[in-house]
Amino acid sequence: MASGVRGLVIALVVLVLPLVLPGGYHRHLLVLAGLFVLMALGFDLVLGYLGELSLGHAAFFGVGAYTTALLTRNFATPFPLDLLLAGLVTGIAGFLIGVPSLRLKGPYFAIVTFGFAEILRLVALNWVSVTRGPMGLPDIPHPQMGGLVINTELSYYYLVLVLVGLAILVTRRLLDSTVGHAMVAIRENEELAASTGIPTFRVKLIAFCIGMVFAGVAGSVYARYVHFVDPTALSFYYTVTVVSMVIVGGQGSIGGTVLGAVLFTLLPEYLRVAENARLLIFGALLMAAVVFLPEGLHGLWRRSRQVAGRHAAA
Amino acid sequence: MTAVLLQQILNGVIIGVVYALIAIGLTLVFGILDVINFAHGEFYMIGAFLTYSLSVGLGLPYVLALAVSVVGAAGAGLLAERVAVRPLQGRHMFTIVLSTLGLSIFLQHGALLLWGPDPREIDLDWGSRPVMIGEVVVSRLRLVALAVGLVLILAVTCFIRLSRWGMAMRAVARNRDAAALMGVPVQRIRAMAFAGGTALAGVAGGLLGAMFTVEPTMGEWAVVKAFSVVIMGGMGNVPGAVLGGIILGVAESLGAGYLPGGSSYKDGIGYAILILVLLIRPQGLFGQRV
Repeated sequence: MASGVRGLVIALVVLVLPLVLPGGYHRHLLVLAGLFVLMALGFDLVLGYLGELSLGHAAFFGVGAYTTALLTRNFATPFPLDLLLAGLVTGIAGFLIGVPSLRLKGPYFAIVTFGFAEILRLVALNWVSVTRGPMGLPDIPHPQMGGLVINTELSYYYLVLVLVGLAILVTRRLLDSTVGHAMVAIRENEELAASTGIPTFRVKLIAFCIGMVFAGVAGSVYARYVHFVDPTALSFYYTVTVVSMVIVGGQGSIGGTVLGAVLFTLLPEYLRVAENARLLIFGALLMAAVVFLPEGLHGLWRRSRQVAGRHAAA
Repeated sequence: MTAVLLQQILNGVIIGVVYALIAIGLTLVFGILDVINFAHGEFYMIGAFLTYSLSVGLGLPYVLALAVSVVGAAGAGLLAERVAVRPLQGRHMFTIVLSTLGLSIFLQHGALLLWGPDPREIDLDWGSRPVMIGEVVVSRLRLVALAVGLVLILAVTCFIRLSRWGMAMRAVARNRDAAALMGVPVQRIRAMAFAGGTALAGVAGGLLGAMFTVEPTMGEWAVVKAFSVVIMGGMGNVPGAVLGGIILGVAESLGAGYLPGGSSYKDGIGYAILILVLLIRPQGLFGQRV
């Protein structure tokens, strides 16, 4: 019962928050936070549930963004279609990169995904006839469905909210399914999972592709939202941001991932007051968070509740 | 025709030997501490900036500046190990990766604050003077880099193979707990390996910084090359890293010279090699271990 009430409160806050916040800037941050939540949820499927660190996440975000940019600019593809196609193309990219990469584990998987991501970034940078290289692709139109135009921070926020809701739903359903149980079994002990007849490779591939589709969808909406993509959308910095979100938030937990994503969207923004020292402080905070929060924010929350419970019992 | 080819190969070998220095540092840290140090490139950058400040700023002779920078990079490494690696011992590999990523951001932006974003040059009068070997031309600076690189590679190899400390390092790499039981001071060995690794990156920074330019983001590029080399050579394998470095240097040099549109994709050659090796022979071309 208590969890139902909590869910209702969260839903209300999330719905009303952009309406009460002053100014477009905060709404803009909320849109970004929502997109990062989407990316982070996809990332956590691989890190938190498969137990593999993918360092190519930003590239899939970029694939989604470029797909939408190219479709809308060249074929005037209408809104939900380009989003679906962006998801599909990213899924295929996830498959093509996942098939070879997922045969590797641990540090090797991390490095090979990093390598693939950098190759994709170099392609975006150098395939000038299609991507216009560093100049990027401008004039990506706002989504339009019938009379409904999504062109304000507020409308984008609700669009992203719907997508995040869908992603959480998909994640929950996936984790409750046989595939989800198999994922956790693989994370805990891959040999054992394989010996019980779980097709480990196929399960890993499914989870990886779904995770990458989330990133691609986020990229597609991002391209619409800022009207523009360039190769910096694929930069490793975004991957690092997403890794921070999930590890500091608490891997393997939807709530922790969401919390981490919101925190790490706002943190670099609010650190702007520090001007040039912004990323210096960000780096230091990142190290401190990893050192002092062993199980992430999620673990901190759980432990504080245990302590509170013990006090109540005493 | 053959003169051009020889020239390309020689250039590649020289750059490759310097890549090998960076990669040996990374592979030592991986082999002995079991840590993928994503901030490794930043120590390369620190070495380059220290060499720049000491030689151009203070007017020290280049080789002396280089030597002092190595000590500086090692010191920075000791500090970094203390702050960002040691507190995480026994935690999952991913958390340590994130910590070194944080360290990398911190150091890169620290350098940006201290030295600014503009590329700097270490201009050496003697360095750009050419030396003819048959039909092939090399600058003196490159010869110095080759010599320093080869001497250091030899020194590191001997240290690991022959000295007591080297033996202790190999013991820790093989089995940390057993080494600790035999009385090896594991903490000190780990700190030493980390500082040694950053020192090697620092020398490489001082050498390549003088050939090209010095800027705060130069470490990103270096760490990627080092990854490809380390993967090629087998993680934790020092002779493998040397061969891998030379292979990468030569492949890049030939690729830039002979591939159509080669120079714009030159940096991609490293990634391509990286991925190919991981897919075909993930244990590296020459197997594993220190």
